[in-house]
Amino acid sequence: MKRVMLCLALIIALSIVAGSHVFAQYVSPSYKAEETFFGSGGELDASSSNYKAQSSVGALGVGYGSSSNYQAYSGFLTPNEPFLEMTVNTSLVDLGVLDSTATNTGSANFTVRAYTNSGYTVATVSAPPQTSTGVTLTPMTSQGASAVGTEQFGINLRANTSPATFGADPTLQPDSTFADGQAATGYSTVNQYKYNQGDVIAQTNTSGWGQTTYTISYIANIKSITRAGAYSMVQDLVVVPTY
Amino acid sequence: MYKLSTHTPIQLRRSLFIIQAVVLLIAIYFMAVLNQANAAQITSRSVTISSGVPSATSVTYTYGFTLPTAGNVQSIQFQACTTAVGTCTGPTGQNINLGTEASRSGWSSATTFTKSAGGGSCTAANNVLCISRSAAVSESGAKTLGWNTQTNPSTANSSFFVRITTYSDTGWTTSVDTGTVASAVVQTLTVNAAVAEVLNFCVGSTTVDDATTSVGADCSTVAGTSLNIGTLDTGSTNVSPVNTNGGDNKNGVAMIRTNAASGAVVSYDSIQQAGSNQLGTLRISGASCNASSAILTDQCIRAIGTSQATITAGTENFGMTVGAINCGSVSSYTCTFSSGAYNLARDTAYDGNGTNTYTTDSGPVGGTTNQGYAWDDGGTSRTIASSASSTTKVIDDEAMILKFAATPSITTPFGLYAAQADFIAVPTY
Repeated sequence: MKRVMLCLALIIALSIVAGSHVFAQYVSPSYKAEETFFGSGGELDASSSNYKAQSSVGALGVGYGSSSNYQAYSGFLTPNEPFLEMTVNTSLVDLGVLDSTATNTGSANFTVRAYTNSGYTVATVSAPPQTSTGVTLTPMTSQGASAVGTEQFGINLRANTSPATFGADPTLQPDSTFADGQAATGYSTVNQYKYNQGDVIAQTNTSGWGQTTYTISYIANIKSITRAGAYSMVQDLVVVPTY
Repeated sequence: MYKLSTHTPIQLRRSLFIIQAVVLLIAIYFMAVLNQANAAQITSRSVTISSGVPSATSVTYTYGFTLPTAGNVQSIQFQACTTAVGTCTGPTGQNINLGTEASRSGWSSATTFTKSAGGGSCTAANNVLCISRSAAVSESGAKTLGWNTQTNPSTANSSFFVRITTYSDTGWTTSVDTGTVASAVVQTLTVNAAVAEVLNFCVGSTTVDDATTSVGADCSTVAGTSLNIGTLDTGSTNVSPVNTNGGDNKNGVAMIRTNAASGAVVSYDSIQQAGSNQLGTLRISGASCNASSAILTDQCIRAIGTSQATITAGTENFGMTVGAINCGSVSSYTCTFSSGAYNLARDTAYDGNGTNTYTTDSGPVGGTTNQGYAWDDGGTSRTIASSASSTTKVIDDEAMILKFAATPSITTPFGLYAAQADFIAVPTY
């Protein structure tokens, strides 16, 4: 019986050892460890001239630390597996009845939370607003400002002041130390708008991790003879994380 | 001492057993670890889905990855799960066991993969796609593989993970590399906007007598309810604008702006005046005219009819034509009458001579007019222009220059003659 118990104890012990791997990444030009475990406890900002680290105490944080010789992702919540979470927080953006003498605006939010080696991109793959008969509200294929009296449909992911104060910059949670999502080129300039089906509108800078909340700012202008009707677009957002 | 000497062999045996057990378990553990390590991890891996809409069908999943191990890749398993690791549960509503190879890049062998029921370690299911090919060609490096006709999971704002395993054989037996990719389907975000129906239509008079000078920025600047082509004389046909013999040097004009997607039709009908017979022509109001317009002694100037025809001085006739589509007020698109670049097409009975050259008929015209005219005095609605058949059907302040022409016969009684008409625009949205 003791032998059996002893064997079981050994099996359990080995199982614990096998199951305790946590997959965090450490990368420098000369060093890379795919999977490392940080034990209980840690420090948010331990650093020296050649070293900087952030690690969690208990189970509260996922951190990033770097110096010229070292960068690290650490913490109890560092995922040990490919992780992705994307949520669209808005179901309807109603731009109302468009007017050739004014610009109509709207906004919507989505959130991406990920843990990836090589970052992620978010693309909009839907066609611009159309009527049921296929008439399209002309999209702004080149980045530009809102122009009243010109048929335009465009978006960006910034806090704008023109043609109105609306929208918001990407929100990094809890801060830029922990997340690095940003608006993509073409959609990252305040008061400048664009819409091309298939364009990447948001992305991470290097590695993709942490949580970023994005706000899409929409504008719509029409000219005096923009065809009448109800225009609608089902915004199809596709996230592509690379591990 | 005796006890010690008695028990020592037993303790040694126990110790040996423990050591053997530990060695055995460690060996088992490392064998398991080594078995896992045999399948190297695929790097730079991702999946790009053509739509992130829940339950979307006909979606193409394009996998991108770099194979760390050079060698044959003759079968692949794609297993969709709700988690990246651990027991696999297929995402609700998802079906990846459909479709064919849609795209590829980076493969050394041109042999495509085909879907099947699988075998070996791969058993096809809604969340498991088993593909294979017979191609004993070493593969390595970065590749993409697109697979079409996939059905997305039905749960909004949910992620799914696809575990990829490559095999060197055609039967999903000898695994080579593995890796997991992720994607997400998100709540549908609908963007709505409405554009109201627009129709700005006006009729008035203008001194403009060409196809390019603006008659006014828009309908708000178009005015006038009449025009005067002066005193008629048998020696000529008076064609508006007439600035002699009492003429007011004006043409008629009808301007239209509409965003009707199916275009607009502009027509007129002659107002039936008081009197009898020929009520809608150029006539003295209240006069009794002959039933036959061939009689030229009454106080009605014969309407030329619904077929376009020229007018010869001294042969009593009254008619109207659209001299041109005036583009002077158009700002939303390129509009040039002379090149035919306009949206409001004139009806063949009211297009002068059918060309895009502005008429030279103006004022008193001797002999025969250069252009044809028409007029229906019966009060029936007659189309003079339409954009319904044009490539672009919306109209931005295109103006029809309405030219009226009349000549009397030597028997036409003197007096004040007038004709009236209603103009109607019918847009179809």
